[in-house]
Amino acid sequence: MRWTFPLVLLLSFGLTVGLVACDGDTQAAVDDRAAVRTAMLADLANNVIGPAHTQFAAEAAALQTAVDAFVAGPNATTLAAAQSAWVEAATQWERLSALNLPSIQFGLYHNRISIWPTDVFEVEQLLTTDDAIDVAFVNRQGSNKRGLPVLEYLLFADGMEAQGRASDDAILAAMQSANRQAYASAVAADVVAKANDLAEVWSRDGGDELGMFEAADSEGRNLQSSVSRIVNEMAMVTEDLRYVLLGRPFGIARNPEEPGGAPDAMRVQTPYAQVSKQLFEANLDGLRALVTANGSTGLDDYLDTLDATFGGQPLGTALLAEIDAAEIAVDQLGSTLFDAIGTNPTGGQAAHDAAGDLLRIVKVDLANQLGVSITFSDNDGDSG
Amino acid sequence: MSMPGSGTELQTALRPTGDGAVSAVASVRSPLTANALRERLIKPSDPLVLGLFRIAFGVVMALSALRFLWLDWGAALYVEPVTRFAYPGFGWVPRPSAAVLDAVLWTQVAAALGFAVGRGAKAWLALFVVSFTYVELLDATTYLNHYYFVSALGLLMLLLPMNAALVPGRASWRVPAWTLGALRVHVGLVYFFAGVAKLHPDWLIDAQPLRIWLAARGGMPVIGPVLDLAWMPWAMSWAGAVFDLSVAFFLWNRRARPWAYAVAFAFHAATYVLFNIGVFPFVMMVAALVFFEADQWRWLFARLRSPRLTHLNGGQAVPLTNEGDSSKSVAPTGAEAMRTGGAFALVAVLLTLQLVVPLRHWLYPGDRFWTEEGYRFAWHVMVASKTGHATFLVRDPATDRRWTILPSDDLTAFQEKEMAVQPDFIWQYAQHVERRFQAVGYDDVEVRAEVYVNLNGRDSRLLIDPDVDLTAVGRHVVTPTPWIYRGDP
Repeated sequence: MRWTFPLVLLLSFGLTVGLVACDGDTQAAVDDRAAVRTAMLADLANNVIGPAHTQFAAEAAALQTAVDAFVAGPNATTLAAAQSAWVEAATQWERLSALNLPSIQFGLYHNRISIWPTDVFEVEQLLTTDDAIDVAFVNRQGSNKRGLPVLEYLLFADGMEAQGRASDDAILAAMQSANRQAYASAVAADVVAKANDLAEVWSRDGGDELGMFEAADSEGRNLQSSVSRIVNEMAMVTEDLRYVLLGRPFGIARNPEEPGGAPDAMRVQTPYAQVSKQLFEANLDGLRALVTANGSTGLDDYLDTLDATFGGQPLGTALLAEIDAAEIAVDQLGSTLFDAIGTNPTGGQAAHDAAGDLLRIVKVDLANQLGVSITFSDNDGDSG
Repeated sequence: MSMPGSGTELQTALRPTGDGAVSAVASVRSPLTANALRERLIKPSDPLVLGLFRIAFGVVMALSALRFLWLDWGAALYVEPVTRFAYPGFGWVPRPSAAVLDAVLWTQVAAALGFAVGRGAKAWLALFVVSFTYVELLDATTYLNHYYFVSALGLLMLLLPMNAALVPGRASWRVPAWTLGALRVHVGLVYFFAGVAKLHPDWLIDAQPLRIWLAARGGMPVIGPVLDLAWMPWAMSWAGAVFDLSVAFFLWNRRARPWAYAVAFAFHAATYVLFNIGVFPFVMMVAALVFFEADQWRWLFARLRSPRLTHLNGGQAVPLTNEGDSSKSVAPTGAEAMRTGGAFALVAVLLTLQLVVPLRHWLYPGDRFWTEEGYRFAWHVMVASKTGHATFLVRDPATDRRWTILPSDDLTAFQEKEMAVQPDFIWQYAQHVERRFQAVGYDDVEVRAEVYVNLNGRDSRLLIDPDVDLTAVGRHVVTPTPWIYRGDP
């Protein structure tokens, strides 16, 4: 009797080994899975996440240069250059948004670079100050009075009454204010400082978050932290795309306590610059980059080693198809999201539904097949 | 030395331990008649195991509550959420402030330690059970099998003489054999039904969800390559099922017990290392100790040769008597017998419930892993990997206005994760949404839910009928919920 129990267990092990030998995964496939996972983390770090942060730092620097030139000599040419630089920087930031896995060392920096919507009333209040406006002054302000959204307001609107993009003349007139000029310049410098800090902390020679990202594959119980961070970030971004970037401005996703509740173009991500569609698509680019690792070993390859499928096709393929479908739905909304809010509710609903399909596959199927628990709880990018 | 009652067909093999104590082990040589069974149940037995278990349970529960306080889970799970999910009939349980909740948790610590010490054990245990169960009733999304196990076991122990041994300054007294047997049966049922829950094609044939979970842990140092062996999910699935189904029987067998416990210890240690399941492994490691008999403990303590354990070693310092008075008969009489009989009847009811409740899922159509009907309180421990996403659609019939509600606006990430895969929570959240609308003047909105769920790696699909107005249907506590999509998930 004393040996019966261990023997029973041993027998069950032997039985199952025999069963699996006849049917199921092969060891070669499983060994390949471990190698692919390691390669995926390395390629995502080296080919996607690292370069994206470097690129954003470069775009931020270009933005600061253009803003400084604009405030030094406000005219139609310098304004257009500053606006263009802002769009480039904001687009790169949104590309980064699915990749900007909350930095272990600089988690709060993301809020300092882009929390929207900007509190334009408080910004205008700030601009009446008698204090010297510099980077230190900006650093003392809350997240909704700094970063890229504030620059959008300063570069594309002429005051808090603005309902959309102002004319160049109105913006130039508003920018005659010395405080406005100083604030634009200081905010741009602050964005550059934060972008450089982030690039530094991710760089191999700096904080080496890339190394930590790769190493999180083999840290015992936290071994999945990198995969988990990727999936959680993808789910959070996708949820924002659906509910915040589309659902709320189109009046689809809203709380009963909110006044009005009708479609509201001013609730798009960039009501002044009116490049919300472009930024939406940049977010999808970021998601796509995680799946494909820009042509190297990405999430799709790892999913293949798990035999993960959806609808009869590889899950990675299905995921890319849903990203494409969401992009097409948004692209069909018209020239700008701002204009589509009041004119194309059907298209808005279709885009919202397409983003919902993407959310379903990310948050439900991808997370489950990777054994990841969705734990995000912040509302990065949405304060309303 | 007490002997079993005479005039029965029971022949008890008393096992002298060399110290005057008598082992509870008996072997039946003849058919087990009702009288023999009765004699066997009331046979005066050594209470040492009850005392040891009381101490172990109290210490582990105190540590568990301290861990809860240390991690500051109370506020995150029970205070900060805007709304909460109630068990049927327990919506009235008042929500505490953060300070009150902390006080309740500290009460748990004190009560668990008080119970462990043993003086006033029943009062301490009652306080612990009430405070522990109160916290668990605050939000049903936090349901865990081991929390339920602690409450159920605590309730059972309230009916048992847990203070019959190892109470400072008090003599021990013999207890009816059924008291220790009841504890063993309860623990054994947990294992057994955890095994029954694994008799499912997903577990046995597809090795799910272990294929998913082990693949996610293949990078672990040292054991990662072992977990990555292709056959490992099947081996662990089958071994887990065999273990759960049989370990209680082997633990009950005297000769197999040490080996079975060693395997159980290794099993629970492995689950602790591999899966994030809190203190459950430790609770079960302690619970399984109840199968060891007093003489086996005495044998162990004799070899430890610890002066502190002298009073345990041989029962010389604290003789085994009846209610601390060695002159009394061990056979219960009069009021004591009635009290004991009443306790026995209540224990029988509790154990019968533990035998029946885990089986109720067979009464529901469809796959219980999918529907979750009869799933809770049935020891379905880590047998399914489910992920879901729920979108709530609201319509005001009076104006035909429509809203899409984002659950994460007023649920914590944890609540949302649990809600999105469990139909009764989805129903409760729909009622909450209705109340939000009523608060701002929409008296009669319709709330529908589009819920996609992935079970054990299958494609996600709709969990419930998205056309059903959840405000117009009731909660199905006992009968099958008609708006769940059933069939093969």
